[in-house]
Amino acid sequence: MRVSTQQIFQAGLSGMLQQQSTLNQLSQQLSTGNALTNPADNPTAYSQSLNLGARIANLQSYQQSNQYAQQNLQLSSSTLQSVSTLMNQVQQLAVQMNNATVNSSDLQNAITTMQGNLQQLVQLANTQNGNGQYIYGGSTTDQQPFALQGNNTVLYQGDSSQQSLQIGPSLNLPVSQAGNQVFMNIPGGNGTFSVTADSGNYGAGSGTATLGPGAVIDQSAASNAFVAQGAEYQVSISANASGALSYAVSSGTASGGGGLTASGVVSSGVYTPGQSINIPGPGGSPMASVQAQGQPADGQTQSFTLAASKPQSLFQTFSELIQAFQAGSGYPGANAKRAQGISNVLQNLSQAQTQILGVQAQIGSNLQEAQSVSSLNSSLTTQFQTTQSSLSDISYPQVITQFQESSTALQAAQKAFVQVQGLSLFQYI
Amino acid sequence: MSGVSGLINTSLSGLQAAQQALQVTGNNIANVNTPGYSQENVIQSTTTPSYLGGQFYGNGTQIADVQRVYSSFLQGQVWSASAGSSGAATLSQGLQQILGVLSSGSVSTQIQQFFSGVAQVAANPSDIPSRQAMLGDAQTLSNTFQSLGQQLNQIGQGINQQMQQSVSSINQLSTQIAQLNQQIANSAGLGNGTPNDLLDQRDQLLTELNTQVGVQVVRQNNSQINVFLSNGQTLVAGSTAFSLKTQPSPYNQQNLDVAYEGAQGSVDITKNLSGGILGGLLQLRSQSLQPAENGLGLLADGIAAQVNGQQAQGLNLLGSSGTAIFQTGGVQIFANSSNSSGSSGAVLQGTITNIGQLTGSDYVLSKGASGVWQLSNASTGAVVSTSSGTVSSGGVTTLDFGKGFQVQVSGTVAQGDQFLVEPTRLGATGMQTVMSDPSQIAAASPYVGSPGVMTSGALVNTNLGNMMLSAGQFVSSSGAGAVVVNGLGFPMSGSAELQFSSGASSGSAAFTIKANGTILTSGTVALGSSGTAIDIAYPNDPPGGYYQMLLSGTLVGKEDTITISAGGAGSNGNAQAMAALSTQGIFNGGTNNANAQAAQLLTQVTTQANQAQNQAQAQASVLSQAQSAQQSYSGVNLDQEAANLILYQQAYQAAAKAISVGNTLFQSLIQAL
Repeated sequence: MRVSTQQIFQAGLSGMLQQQSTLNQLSQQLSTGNALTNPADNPTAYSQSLNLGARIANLQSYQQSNQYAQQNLQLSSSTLQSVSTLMNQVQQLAVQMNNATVNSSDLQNAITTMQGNLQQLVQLANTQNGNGQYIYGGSTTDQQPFALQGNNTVLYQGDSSQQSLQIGPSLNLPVSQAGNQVFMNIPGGNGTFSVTADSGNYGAGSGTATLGPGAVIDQSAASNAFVAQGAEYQVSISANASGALSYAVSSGTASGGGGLTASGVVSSGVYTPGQSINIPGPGGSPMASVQAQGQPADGQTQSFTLAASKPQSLFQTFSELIQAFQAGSGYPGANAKRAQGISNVLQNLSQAQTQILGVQAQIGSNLQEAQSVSSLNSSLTTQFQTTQSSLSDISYPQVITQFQESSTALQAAQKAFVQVQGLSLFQYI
Repeated sequence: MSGVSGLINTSLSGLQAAQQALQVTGNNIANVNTPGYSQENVIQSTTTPSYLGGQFYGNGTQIADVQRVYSSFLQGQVWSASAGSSGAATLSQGLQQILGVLSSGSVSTQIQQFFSGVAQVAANPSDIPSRQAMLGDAQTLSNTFQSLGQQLNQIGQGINQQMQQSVSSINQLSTQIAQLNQQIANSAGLGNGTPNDLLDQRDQLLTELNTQVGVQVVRQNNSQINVFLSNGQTLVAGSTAFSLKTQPSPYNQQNLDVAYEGAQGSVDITKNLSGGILGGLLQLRSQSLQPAENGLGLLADGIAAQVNGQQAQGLNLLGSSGTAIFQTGGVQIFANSSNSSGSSGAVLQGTITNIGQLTGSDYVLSKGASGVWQLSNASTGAVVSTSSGTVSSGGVTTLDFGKGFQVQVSGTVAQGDQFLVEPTRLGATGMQTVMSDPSQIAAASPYVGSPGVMTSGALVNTNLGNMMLSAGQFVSSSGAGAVVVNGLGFPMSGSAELQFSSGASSGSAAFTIKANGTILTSGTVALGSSGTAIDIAYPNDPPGGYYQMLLSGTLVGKEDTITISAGGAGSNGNAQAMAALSTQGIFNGGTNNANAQAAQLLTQVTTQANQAQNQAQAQASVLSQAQSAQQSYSGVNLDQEAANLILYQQAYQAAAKAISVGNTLFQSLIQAL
């Protein structure tokens, strides 16, 4: 085929330019290590690389939230550990003081100790994290949630809001506990009803009857009666003038003044100290029972009111213990009052321990979940990064070989060009 | 002629022929590098012989023709390949530019960085430095969108400039071609030679013209050519040239269209041009640049709408409802410049209503008969839908065609008038971060339920039962069986109480919700079931919808109360929901999240760039094939010319020698007399 002179030049030139362009592209790849310097060369790999990059960044965001979550959970857990230790100390003190032989100076020391314990509990409840935020205030994190009043009561100024963080796709982990759920809303009494001694039960010359916290026999009947109906029961233990003991259980509804508007006796009988008294439900069969100790003085009736348990804060329990210690000492009435108070406090402490253990168990399982999600996300991230690098990183041996080949091809094209230009008939004529 | 003079004359003709042939060869050699030059061959023929003494004696040679070695077929191949190759090259270069802008902007990284900053605020809602960092990320994101949008806009302006240059080149070339037609017509009348050089020049001009815009060449029978554009309009007819010009588009004065100046005024031929640089530029603008700008704008609009919408659902550190963080460019609406003057008072405003329905296309809105408006796709012309809209009492017509935006028309519009609607074009260029105070980030949930009653700022819980109000979430509509609360106030002042009137341990319990002593609503909840939804209505839209909390439990005491209060500084519910937006499907009917949409945009442009690159390579090799075929036929080969030089030189020498012999014969004859 006939080739014009212009064409000879053009063909040689375009060959050299082509090789130069390939060489340039390869050297760019070598210097950046990135195979996708020109995304248009490989749109599929580029788009996959973009998607992977987005998912990796997403996982890293989850991992960061995960770290915050674990930090918060660990702080809460260690604080609750301290609270638990404090409660054990208080429990020991209560048991120690539940003794007829303690005197007023022992009680005075106990009161001072308990006041210190109460302040320490308030301090623990007002724990702040590294940023100065109160961790048990619900959504009120910038001011103290628990305020200790002059009369040993503690007010809660936060709410029930709980923070949660997303640590994985569709995986929200609670990372905080609302202060009222931990410290304030502890079920009083045995969880269904609580026992309160009448104020006139203990004085100089009174008897020694105390009523334990009680147990529930028929839960649904008890819940219905106490909570739904709002019924209250009064257990009265009497000793007549000659010392014969009897008891009576009457039911009623709470009256406005805090007393009981009785509507009739539902059960009665002879009382022997240490007896377990049954509280009959609406159908007549027993739904709860309470254990009575001691006995009233002759001619005295000691009454106890059973009402639905209200939420009782741990602070209130501590301050009830202080009140029990303030009951006095030295005479049977005072000892019985103290014993009654301590019995209620011990029951409350046990409820509080159950509650706090429950919270700690929840925190523990959340921590475990966070840790396992963290390691899962971490291995996913590594996997994605490997895939991404296989898409977008060059294989050095391959590119270096291509570069050598291109370089050789360019040299060959240049040499061929020079050779062909030398061939002209004009050199011979 | 006979005898000695015959010899001399015959040899003289050979000498002259050789001389002229050498001249033609010399011309070929001189023009070896002239673009578009076709080599010329000398065709010799014998002169008329003489009849003398019963024999025919030849009388030498003459130059019959200086023939231009030319194949119109091969030249036509080069022309169409030039148009295809330069068009594909222009498109490929343009797409590389667009791809360079989008890929270097790393939009995906910025989006992810922003949402990661939101997640940090969710982890530390009241921490000011985290909020500050989130606003910083927001600023970076909006700056990125703005800068990318502007860079794409500049590419568009560059296209306009190139179009102007191309059109003026085309006009210049057509004028020159027309002049050459004239000259060729004049020269064709002189004798029977062909004006080879003029023909070559004209062919070269046609190649350049094809590089600018694809044209068709039709030969007339008097060696004139007519040139037509690809839609049949005449560019050159004989010695008359028609011109093209650029004019502002009828809708958007900043876009240039190409018009043809015919006898009846200028006609818009933008959609009909193909091939060449001009065709490539027009294709680049309509099929690659504008969709890329719209896609980027859609991404910006979507992210801003979602984030702002989430802000509106929560409370900031100051206790008030969240305000917008981002602002994006609005819906652009242009009136057609040929709309009737009666519509000059009409005002059209567009707003984006539903991100999931937006498609990134532009639309033409036209008013038809009896108040029915029609929406059609701006690039394909296909009708999308028609609607009469809803007319408000103030005479404002609101039109919604289900494509994600709404147009409000106030004033009168005449029938037949048209408007161009570009819903997302300005989304990216107009994106700004308008929030500067970090405490205005709405991280807190609007409402929190806590068991108990709020008494002098403290929460006192005397509930006997175990009813709880769960943490809430946003729902857009209220379901069956939900209790709707209106008038609770957002943000809430004070607190509200959800109170049970009487106790229950099974069945259902009735409750009322009261705020500031006024009963807002009442309802019942089935004890022991999954609970009853309490839907608190947001008073304004955005966000519209409800904040839904779940009331559940198994035991109710008489007068048990749950307090509903506003989320405080440590509440992170709204920030959590905002961080979760990064994986929420917003776009394309709810199937794509922000990152997927960004990846889709980039993939679209990358794929187009890849196709254009391949096409450009293919067309370039077609062009080089055509060129080498044409060159092999019409190109000058120096070796061939060198051989010709020797050929004619020898012929000259031989003829000169023959003359010299003739002279010697004559001398001997003279000396003999």
